[in-house]
Amino acid sequence: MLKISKRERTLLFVLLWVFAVFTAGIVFYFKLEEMTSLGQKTAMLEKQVQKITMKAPNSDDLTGEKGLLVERIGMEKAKYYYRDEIDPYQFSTIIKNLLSEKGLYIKKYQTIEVKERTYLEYSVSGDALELAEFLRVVADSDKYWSIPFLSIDARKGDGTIDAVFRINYETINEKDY
Amino acid sequence: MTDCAYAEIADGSYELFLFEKNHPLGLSGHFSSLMMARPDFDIKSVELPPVSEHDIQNMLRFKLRSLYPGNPDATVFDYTLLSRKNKKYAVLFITQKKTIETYRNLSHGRPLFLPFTLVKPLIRKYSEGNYAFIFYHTRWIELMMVQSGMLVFSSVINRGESFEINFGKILALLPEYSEGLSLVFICAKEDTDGLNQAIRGSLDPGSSYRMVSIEELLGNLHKKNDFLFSERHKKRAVPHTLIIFFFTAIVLLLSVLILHKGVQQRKAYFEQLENRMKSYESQTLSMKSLENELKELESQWMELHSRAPANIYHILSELSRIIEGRAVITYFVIEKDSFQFEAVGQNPLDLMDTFKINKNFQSIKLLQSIPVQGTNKERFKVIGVVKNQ
Repeated sequence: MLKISKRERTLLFVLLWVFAVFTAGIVFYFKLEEMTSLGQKTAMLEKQVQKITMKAPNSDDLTGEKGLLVERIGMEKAKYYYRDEIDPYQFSTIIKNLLSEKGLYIKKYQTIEVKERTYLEYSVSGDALELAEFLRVVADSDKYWSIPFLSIDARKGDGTIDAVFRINYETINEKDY
Repeated sequence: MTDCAYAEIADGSYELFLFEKNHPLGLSGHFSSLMMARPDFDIKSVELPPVSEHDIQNMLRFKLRSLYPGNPDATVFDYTLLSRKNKKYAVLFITQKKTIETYRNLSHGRPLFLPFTLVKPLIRKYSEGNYAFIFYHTRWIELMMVQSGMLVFSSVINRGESFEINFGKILALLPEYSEGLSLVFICAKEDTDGLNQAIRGSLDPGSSYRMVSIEELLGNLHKKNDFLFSERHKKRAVPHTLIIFFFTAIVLLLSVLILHKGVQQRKAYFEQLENRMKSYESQTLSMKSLENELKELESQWMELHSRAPANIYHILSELSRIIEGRAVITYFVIEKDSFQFEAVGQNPLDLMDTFKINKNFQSIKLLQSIPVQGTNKERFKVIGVVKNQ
């Protein structure tokens, strides 16, 4: 076995110490540097996360709002006729029946083309309340029925009125919605 | 070590002399260590079982009772170890407590030793064969019989004037197997020549012996452990410096590990934050797309809603609510959102104020008003626009 003197042992010991301290110093330096850099990055990221958290919209609210809108759109769409769902003649029959049902007398009816749209124009006479009832039914109908023109003449003074109105139904393109 | 001293008993009291020229030592005389008088001690050799060094002392203390007849409480001993081929021997130096106290007082704390302390290096040197070490001192002679490096016995005689008588006494002490025994004489340098002549005169011609001077042996007396009856240093299993190094290394290692752990924890937290950030980003993206979807749906709904036709019934109801009791509408016309009506009633200007504050109508104008003859009523025409709802 190799014998070493006390002086050599001391030297070896000192060298070992220097090596250990030097190695530990290097490890400390790099670890501290890594820690500092991580600390800075973490602080930046924390700020970003905080910002995002504050700005981020509530997904439940958005989803609820979306559901509500989809429902509304569905309901709104249901009030429109699709292109092939009805034609002016079918619609005319509905209106004629309704007017008769409400006790209004149809003096004349005709179709009018206004800006590529076909309207049904009715001249009717009858009780003012019957006309009001007709107009209520039109307003409350499941589908959108449009009356772009209406004239009511009650100048006879006998409680009856003469009225002329144009009526049409609203349509949408199925592909558009 | 020429400033070593030795003690001699003269007239019942101890006197100190320097080895150098046997000078008596005064009260203020300087010496580095003191050799005690051999006659004050009993020397025994004990074979040791394989026990730890720590237990040797206790074991020898126990064994002392069978080796030494004195009162154990008044007896003290010290020992030195000899080893040979896996066997260990302890050489015990036994004396009275008061004797050691006396030597301690004489030495004033300086190290103490016995002739064996000086001879021990020689025993190691002549470890093969049988040797008789004969230590010639001023007033006594010690015989140390050594067999294969082990002390068999040690005995002391008073030194007489005649060498022949002294030598005869020594030879009488030697055991039967002393043939082929090597003699080693140890004496002061100044006695060497005289002793040499005397030995040659006494020994058979051709017999060999060795001479070693005490001064030469004193030169080897440097190790602390060679001295006797001093505080025996407990030999640490692990050297002190090594323990310090070990603990400091552990502290360093632990510090590095703690630092490493800290870095790892920070890294884990950072990764956690990064993952959270990524999930927020993807969540934000999905939120954005949801928001866009909402905007599209909203515009779709608005478009659909804006296409809804005006509610004529509602307009007429509102109109009748405003003018109820104040006038009677005789004529009404509405095209898209513009309307006109003719009515008969009182104070149409008041009616205009009511129209102004109504949210359903705007741009209301009173076109014409003609008083109706014989009444306080007026026939008037109003135009206006229905607000787009």
